[in-house]
Amino acid sequence: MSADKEDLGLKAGIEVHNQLNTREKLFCGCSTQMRGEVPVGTVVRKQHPVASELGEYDVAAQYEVMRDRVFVYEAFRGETCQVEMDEEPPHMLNQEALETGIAVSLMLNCKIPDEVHVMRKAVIDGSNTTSFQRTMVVGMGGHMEYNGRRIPIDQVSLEEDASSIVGEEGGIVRYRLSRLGVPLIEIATGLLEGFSPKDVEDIAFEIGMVVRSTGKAKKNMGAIRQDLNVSVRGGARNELKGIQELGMLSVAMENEINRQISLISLADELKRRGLKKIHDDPVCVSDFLSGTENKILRSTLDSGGNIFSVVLPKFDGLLKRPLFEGKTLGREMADVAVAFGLKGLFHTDEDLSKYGLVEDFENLRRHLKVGKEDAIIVLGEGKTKGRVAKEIIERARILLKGPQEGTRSVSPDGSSRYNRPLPGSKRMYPETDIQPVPISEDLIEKIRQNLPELIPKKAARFKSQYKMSDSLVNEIMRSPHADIFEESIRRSGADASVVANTFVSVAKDLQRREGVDIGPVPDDLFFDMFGAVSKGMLAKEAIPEVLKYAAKHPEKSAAEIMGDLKLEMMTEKEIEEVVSKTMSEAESNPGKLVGIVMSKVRGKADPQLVIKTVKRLSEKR
Amino acid sequence: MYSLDIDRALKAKKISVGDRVGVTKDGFTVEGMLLPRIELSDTSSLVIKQDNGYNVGIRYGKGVEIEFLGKGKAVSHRHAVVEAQHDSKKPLVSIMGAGGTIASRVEYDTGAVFPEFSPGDLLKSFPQLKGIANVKGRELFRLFSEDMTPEHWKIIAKESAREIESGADGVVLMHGTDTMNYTAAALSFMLQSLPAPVVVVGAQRSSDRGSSDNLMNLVCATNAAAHSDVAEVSVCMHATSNDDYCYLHQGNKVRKMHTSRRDAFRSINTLPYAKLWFSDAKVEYLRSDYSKRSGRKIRLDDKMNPDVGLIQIHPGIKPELIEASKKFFDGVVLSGTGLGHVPTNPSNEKFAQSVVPAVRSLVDSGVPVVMAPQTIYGRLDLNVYSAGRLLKQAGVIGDGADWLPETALVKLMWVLGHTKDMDKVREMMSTNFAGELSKDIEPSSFLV
Repeated sequence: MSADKEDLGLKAGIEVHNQLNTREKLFCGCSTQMRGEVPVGTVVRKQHPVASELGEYDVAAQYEVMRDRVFVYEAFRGETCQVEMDEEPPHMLNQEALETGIAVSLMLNCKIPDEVHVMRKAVIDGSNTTSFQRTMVVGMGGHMEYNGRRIPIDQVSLEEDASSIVGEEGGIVRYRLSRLGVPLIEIATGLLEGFSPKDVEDIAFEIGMVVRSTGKAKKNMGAIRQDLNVSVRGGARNELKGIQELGMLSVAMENEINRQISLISLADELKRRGLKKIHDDPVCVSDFLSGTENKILRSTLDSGGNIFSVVLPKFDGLLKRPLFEGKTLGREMADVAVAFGLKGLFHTDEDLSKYGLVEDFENLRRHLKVGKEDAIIVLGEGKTKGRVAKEIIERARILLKGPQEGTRSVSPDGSSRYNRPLPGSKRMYPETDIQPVPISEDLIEKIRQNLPELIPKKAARFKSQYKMSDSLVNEIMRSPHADIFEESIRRSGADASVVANTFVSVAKDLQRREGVDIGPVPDDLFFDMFGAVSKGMLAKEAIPEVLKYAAKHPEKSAAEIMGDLKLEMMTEKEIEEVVSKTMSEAESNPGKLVGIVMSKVRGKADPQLVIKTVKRLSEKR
Repeated sequence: MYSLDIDRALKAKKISVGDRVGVTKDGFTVEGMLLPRIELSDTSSLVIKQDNGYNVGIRYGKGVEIEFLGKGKAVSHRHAVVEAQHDSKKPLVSIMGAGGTIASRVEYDTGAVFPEFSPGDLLKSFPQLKGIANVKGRELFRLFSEDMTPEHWKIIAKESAREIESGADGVVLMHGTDTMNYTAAALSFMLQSLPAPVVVVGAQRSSDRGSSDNLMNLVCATNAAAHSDVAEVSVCMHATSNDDYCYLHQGNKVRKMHTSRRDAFRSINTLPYAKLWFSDAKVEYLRSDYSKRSGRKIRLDDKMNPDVGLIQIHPGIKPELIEASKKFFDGVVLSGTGLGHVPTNPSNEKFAQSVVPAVRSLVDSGVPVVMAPQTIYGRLDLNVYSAGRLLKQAGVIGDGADWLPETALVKLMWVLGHTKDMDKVREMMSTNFAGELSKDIEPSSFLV
């Protein structure tokens, strides 16, 4: 879609979340390393809805409960204590995280509250053992500049990260507790009107860079997550959650714009077809389809489940309509089933011969007295007992009204899927286990005096100081390690090009080719490793190997790693021995000789020294 | 309560807590609902709940403007509309509230907590109860566990007896967890010849959170009251950190052994009566030596003398403390070291002080002294070491007992409510009234 976004009445808002690399978690002394190796134990829990003051359960909360799930939490030594297990009240608020939050707020021109109040935000997907997330406002009413325009920053908050999900099977959801309680900074913009998806993406990048400028941002994959609110004129606000890769933000936004536009035209089409209301509820057709040969439906019946049919009047042909690239309405409906733990559904707008269901559907059409202009959806349900079919018909009824508010989860490819209704506003209440934290003028002033330099400002200096190209400077800026680029050079005396190459190319190669995330490698290791390179103790060719090892063993020092990998540089004498041996074996052509020797000593010898030695020994001969 | 300055400013503008206000400081305005100030915290900051739900504090002072933006709606607690339907096939369980937060509802704006005890409220919050029993609910009082007194125990005992006499098939008492075992022990002595279960239950996690243990504990407790045949006073709490089953503990042999965990309550010197499974309501009995349900008539025996003290023996304890205790108490429980010991200083060591003379003085002046083990687990034996023998000689009661210090305290209150005669006290203390004294300790009961 390339239409002029201003015509669409496009409204957006971004929330950028960044994990903080503090020594301890937000409310306990556990490490934030998230190494999560072998669990030392698990705890099995259930959660239930809690009535609000109106005597009603929160819609979103109730919704999750319908899914009737059991949560298994994995605990890790040093990364989990009784606080994460919801077996002990939270400890004092982490001062390092609080001060980082205030610093970020000041950099974004926010007002700092005189008192920080920790709140409980109800979360009932099980990702928090408490069933709420602790969160607090540390900055309000700020702004930043983007291309000469003022971007409102509504709020900076500090919150605890949730557990990371391992998987879900048969109503049992497994979570890892190592991430729970890691401090997160959340920065929410105000309403962004008249910005293109690309602009919005760039604004998110600029915001992320402010956090990274503090040097306290985590660098690992998944350390940054973006949520995006989008609506078009005639559409409705949808929250797209968990966009990890920045480059996917604009894609996700385009998709959502298209989805809302498609839903508006779908509602028009249904009206045009004369549909006013969907009357009939789903019916159980287990008896009628008891002879089905479809494997999925068969196994539902065999395991005591039931088959339900949902009739969508006047929907013929609409289920194969695309909502955005790669997602049809039928697929969107199937996502609802998937959200409830089912495998999917079958409908009349797809090729039913693939599933051996042509006859079944024809019979069903006759049996239910359904016209040709109507569509039929069929699905098998076990534990959910028809609740999913009911949800699907509700979703279809809503289609008549056009786009509705909701939250959607974003996949790595930028497509999104149905998630659950937006949580109600009643879900925030005070964390009574923690007293409000007063913020003194003195503390704010102290932090203001020590604000870090913004990365883009530093980058301007890289260019002149290290004579780097614009594109390289740009890449360094985008690297999670931009904050330690200069310090690495200053502390190690290494060549700027070696450092730049490491943070840009080596990091990307390791990620792409070997799936190694160097995010967890401590800053000190980089300083020591570059130091070793500049002192000639480590070949720069060995950097990838060191980092690969360091990512797995972030607790080891550079010296230990070099020892473990036997990467100490060879002495001139040792090189001489390899060269003589190689010469005696076969090759006498100095050019080829260098190649063969290098392949034997790569990473352990300075190439210049190898060339010199080969030259010297060849001449001697 | 806000500071005088703020109070004055609010009054001048006719603003009250709950109103919508705008607070402007340094050119920036925070809008939202004015919240009450939480007790014991800094009273010079205004607390505003913003529209997005977040609270922030704005220090009041020169240059801070408060503006009235609208009248707040009164926050009231609405009762739920769930109708309790009687099912004649199901037993009747009377659920009574004595305090704690097991059945309460948070008011999300202020964080204030309302109790909920009407059957409708209970069924709304705990819909699973419907499948277990017909329930009726009633609040006796709303007390923090630590504020409970022997007078409250008497009221609870009386009301429990009345519920059973008027046809309840079981009683559930919701109680704060800190002193739950004292109450349960007291009930075990006061409710004699109990024909039906009386189950004390609580929650270690507040009821505002979806992870609270209140649901499982209450469901299991109601199940025990309705369907188990354990006609005893018991405590029903999480058995493990998982939400899988509860233990039904003997009320006078159970103790809170952790400040905060769900599975803090452990049976001491005995096994729990049963495991109560949450998901399928199965009752798995672990013992058979308890009184079974029957049609016998309950006998309320709630005479209590609250003037009993519990003193923990420790290195360097001053004999004067024990000596002086007779001024306050009609009876004293010593939580002794090891098998039931106190300092006796047999070798006249210069720093040590024997407390035996003080103990003797108490007994001689008619104040019974009862021993209990501070090790919590295990049985007293005053015959093994000379310290024990000296205490026995001085008239200390309790040799061979395996009671908890708390149970010994409650029992002594109950016994002294019946007699002041030292011989009679001695006899009653040695009589097993409610399973508080066991003949043999099951080896597998340690640290379960």
